[in-house]
Amino acid sequence: MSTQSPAYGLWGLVLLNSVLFILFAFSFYKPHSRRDWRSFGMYSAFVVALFTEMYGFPLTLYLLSGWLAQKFPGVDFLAHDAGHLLEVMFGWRTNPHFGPFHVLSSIFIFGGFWLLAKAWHVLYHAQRESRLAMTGPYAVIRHPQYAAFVLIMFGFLLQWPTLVTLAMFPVLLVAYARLARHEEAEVLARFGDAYRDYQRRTPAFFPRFGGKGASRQAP
Amino acid sequence: MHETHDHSHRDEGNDGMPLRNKLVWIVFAVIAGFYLWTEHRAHLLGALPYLLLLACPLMHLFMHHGHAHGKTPPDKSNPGQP
Repeated sequence: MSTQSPAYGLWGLVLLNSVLFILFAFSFYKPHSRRDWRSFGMYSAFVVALFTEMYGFPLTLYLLSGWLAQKFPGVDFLAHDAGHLLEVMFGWRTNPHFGPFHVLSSIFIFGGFWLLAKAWHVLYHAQRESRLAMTGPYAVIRHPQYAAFVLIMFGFLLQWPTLVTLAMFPVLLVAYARLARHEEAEVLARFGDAYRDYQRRTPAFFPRFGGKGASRQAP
Repeated sequence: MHETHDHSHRDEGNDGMPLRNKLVWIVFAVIAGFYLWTEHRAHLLGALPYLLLLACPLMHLFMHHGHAHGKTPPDKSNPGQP
């Protein structure tokens, strides 16, 4: 599978994949405010960093090559498949594209995109009618779009972990949490008690299952 | 304001997306899935122009969708709450 063509230096694929996944998110996020653009920009940076390593230059694999070669002798780390690191380390050692981490990652990624689209649809109509978005995903958590971005990025991490994206992830989590807090202050100022009531009823990021109890989403 | 496709999802509190949005989502998901699952090798580069071509009607659909609605939510007066 990895014989005839090089696995890296495929800058066309870097470009194409980045554009595709950024466009996908753009279509269902439609940034308006500066804050929207910031959260969208952070997601985009993550996507570009990821695909640059996946198809362009595998920085992580180079940096870890010594350790990896020792730990996993016989794995060709210059081949694309080896970049699905979690599969190599803990997976089933078959075609990584059908291994447990890839499957899980796909669920997170497409689930995230689905949530993003759903939430956007609700928010769009709420904004047009100058009311609060409280139905659909907004009935479950207060910030479904941020949660969606986090789910998507977490999915990508499962699929193709890199040092850069691993380092970016916690930073993005904090940034999204802060954006969410600022946003709530604004919405509170505008909608007052209606929003305070909604806040009381609805958790910010982690849906309540049954009565109470946290979800499995990354912190 | 009350454009043609508006009433397809006019019913209050309806969370279902209109068919058009769903379609766009599915097309995106199929292309994305294609990239995530197939062997991402040289033969894909051969398909590149076609995929970009494919993206054109897709984008048109979306841009048009945006226009038809006439007005986008005024972001100043109504801070979003994603």
